[in-house]
Amino acid sequence: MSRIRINFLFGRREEKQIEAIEFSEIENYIERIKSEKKISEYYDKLNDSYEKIMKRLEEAKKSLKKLESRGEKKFTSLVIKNLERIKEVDELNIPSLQQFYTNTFYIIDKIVKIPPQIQYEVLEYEEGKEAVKLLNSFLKDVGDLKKILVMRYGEYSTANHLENASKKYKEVKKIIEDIKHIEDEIQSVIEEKEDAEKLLEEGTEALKHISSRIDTKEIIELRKHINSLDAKLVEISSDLKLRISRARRPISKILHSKDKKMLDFFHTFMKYPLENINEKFWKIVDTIRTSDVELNKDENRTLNEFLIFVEHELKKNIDKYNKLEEEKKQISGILKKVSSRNEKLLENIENEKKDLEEKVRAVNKKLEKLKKARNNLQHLLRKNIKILEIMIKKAGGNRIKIKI
Amino acid sequence: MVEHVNEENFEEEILYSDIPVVVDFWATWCAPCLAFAPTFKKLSKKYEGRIKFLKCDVGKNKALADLLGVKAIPTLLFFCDGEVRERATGKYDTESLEEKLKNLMKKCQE
Repeated sequence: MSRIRINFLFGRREEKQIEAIEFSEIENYIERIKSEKKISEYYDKLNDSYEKIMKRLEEAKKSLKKLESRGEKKFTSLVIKNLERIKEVDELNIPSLQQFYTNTFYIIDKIVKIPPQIQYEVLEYEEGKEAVKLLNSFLKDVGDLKKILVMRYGEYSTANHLENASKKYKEVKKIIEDIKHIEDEIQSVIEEKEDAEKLLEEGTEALKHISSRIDTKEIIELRKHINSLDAKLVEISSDLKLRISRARRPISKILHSKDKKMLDFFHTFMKYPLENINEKFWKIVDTIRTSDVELNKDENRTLNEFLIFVEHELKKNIDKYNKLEEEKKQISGILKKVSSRNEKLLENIENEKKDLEEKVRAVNKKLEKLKKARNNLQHLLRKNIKILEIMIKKAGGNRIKIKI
Repeated sequence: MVEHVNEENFEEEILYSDIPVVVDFWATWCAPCLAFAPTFKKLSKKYEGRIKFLKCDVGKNKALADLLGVKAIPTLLFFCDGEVRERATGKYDTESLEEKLKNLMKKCQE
């Protein structure tokens, strides 16, 4: 029976202690605590203390200037210079008064470090005694401000916690905005990535398509045509070679007795007969026709066959050969042109593909960087939310859980 | 791990810490402070996650030391829930400091 009661109470207490609050409600929540707690007393103390310091500061400055006009320069110029550096606060709140105290502390430190001999000299004058008295009062007032500032860690801690909570709320709000901004940026980069990947896919497809078209169609056809022309040319050339080879001996016999140069030409002629058919060849033919050299029966027949071939077929074959050569030249030109055009096309597409790949890589890198920045901010957000929850609890609010 | 605390982050690091905090007030010119540093570092590793170990250079944070009433160094301030629970001035050996840390944890749980 008692165990059930304890569990029940424990459960109720927990439920009451942790209050879930939307972040957007936090500002109002802090304001509500501020209105419920009596914190104006602390701000009054701080303001009074600050005003007292500023009043004493002005009095001290006036007194020092009076002393300066009497001819005392060493001490007064040093002190006035430092006192002038004490700036008034823009806002009368705890952080700015703490900052005021901290700055003043370092300025006073400089005044205190003025050599004792220089400090001592001013006491010779009545105005000097007055100035030192005012400066000591000023130091005491600064000390009093410190005591009041320290109270924010003790009896007036609520004021401090509320001040810090308001500041932290703004900080957290800024982090949330930054995260939202990064989220938007991530979304736009994801879209950019998708577009780049789509373009890359299209580019790869186009490249595949063009490559297959180039390899299977135009160039193959042209190459086939060139090969067939080559075969025909070889056929004509071989036929001529065969016939000349058969008639070689009687031709050499005729040329040997007639013309030495022609004989030399005839011997080299055999290598590329069709290419070498020129004026000299026709002269050889002419010399054979008009020759009176004695040949045997077989030689005579072979030579006659050669001459008939030259008269009736060779001319025709030469024209055919030249035509085929010309055709081959033209087709080779076309092939070169087509190949170069295709190579250029492929190169362009490949470059485009490379650019797209580079773009996809760059976008991925950018995305990674943004995600890392978002994670860091989310970590910072969690940390600051936790601190804000502690601040609100310490300021006298309930134990809360902030929901984003 | 020992982190540094200054006039800027003092409140956030100490006041709103969800674990006990011990701050070592030291200065670069203070030989006993330098001699004490390894002990402090060693214990910071041992108590990681249970107690926050911070160092405050009084040469750079005179106003903060003044505000917290630190008159001599090395001084250790033990905080629980943002409030000073104990002060200790002078060099400490590992055992006596550990004793103080255990007491601090006990006080914080109360």
